[in-house]
Amino acid sequence: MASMRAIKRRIRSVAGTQQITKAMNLVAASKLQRAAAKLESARPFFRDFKILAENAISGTQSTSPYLKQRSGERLCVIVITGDRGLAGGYNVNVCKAAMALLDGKEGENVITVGVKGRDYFRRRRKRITRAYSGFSELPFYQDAQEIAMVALDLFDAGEVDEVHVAYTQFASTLSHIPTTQLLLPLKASTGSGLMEFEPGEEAFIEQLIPKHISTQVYGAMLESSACEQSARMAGMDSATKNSSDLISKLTLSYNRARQDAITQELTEIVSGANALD
Amino acid sequence: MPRLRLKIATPKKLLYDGEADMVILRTSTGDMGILPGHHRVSAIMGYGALKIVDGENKSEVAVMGGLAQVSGDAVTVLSEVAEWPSEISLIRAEAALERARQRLAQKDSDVDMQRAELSLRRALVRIEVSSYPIIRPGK
Repeated sequence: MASMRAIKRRIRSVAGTQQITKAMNLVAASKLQRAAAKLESARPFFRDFKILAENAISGTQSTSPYLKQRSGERLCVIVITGDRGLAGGYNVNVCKAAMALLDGKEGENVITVGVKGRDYFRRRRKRITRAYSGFSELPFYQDAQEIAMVALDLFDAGEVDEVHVAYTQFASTLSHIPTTQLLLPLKASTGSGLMEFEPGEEAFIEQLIPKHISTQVYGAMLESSACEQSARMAGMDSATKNSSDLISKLTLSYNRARQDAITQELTEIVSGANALD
Repeated sequence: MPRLRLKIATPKKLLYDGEADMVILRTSTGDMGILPGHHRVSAIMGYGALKIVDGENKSEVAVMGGLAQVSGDAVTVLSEVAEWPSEISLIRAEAALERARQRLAQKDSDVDMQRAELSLRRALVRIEVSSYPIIRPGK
């Protein structure tokens, strides 16, 4: 049995940790509210943009390189993770989804958003084209535009055949789905008739493509940021519960140790008194 | 009589999601009036006022570029920046106009010129739209 003093020290240290996890839980909860509100107000924009892009592509006969399937051997994956850990499986799950995409392909270009993604792919010796960090908690549209430019340049230069984005979809506070989405080349949804273009087909596609990528990346970043906070909230909540359990277990063994000590002392006194008689 | 289903969205928020009788889009090539039954079209938006006619209500939205699509009776306008007249600060727009004019007069590098021109156009649109009486379409 551990000494009383050791147990007491242990209890104090667990209680300290619990205080931290509890605070992190509260912080994540308030950040989640902000992230979820931002996501909610932007969702119509990027969801409708996807529909608009698919409609436009299915109504076109353009032979633009952005619409043509290539061999699909060389990929560029934009991976969206958080800057910080302690968020359950949030960071790892999306990285795994991206890895599954890269599996068996010969060309790989990874653009990471968030420190955790960068570290993950660096450890696995993947080619990181660009690594962004610092804004995954509260992304701005301008950030997405910059990332889209980098990806588009790679595609334009013919260095990659496909551009994907890997992110975590925020289905609800409890359900986060690691997802990958193909951004380029744009796939047409099954045609619903021809469409006119103003000012012209090629000019429209020229405008559509960069906006399409930045919009979808922006959407992915917002979904992910809400997931990060909500995953951290859940993780810290269970950590707080675990430390409560641990503390009650430790308190029990502390009390037992104390009782043992008292019993032993009594025995010693009684046997000492008996010896005197 | 079928009505249009209009949606105007920006990355910041959904500006309009409802029905309308007529929409006039300021596309990059000029104004385009949309009535129910319009053919399918995708257009690049210009900088300007988008007009919405909904029964007796008429309203304007300042739209700065973006894309629009008419498909069936659904009209979707997606722009990086779009504002209601009530959200526009005329004082700030006029200040921006003045700044942009000064910068254009200086003639520095190309990038700066482009940016100054864009902000000049934005300011002009804002000033034009902000003078529009606020008649929000009833929902």
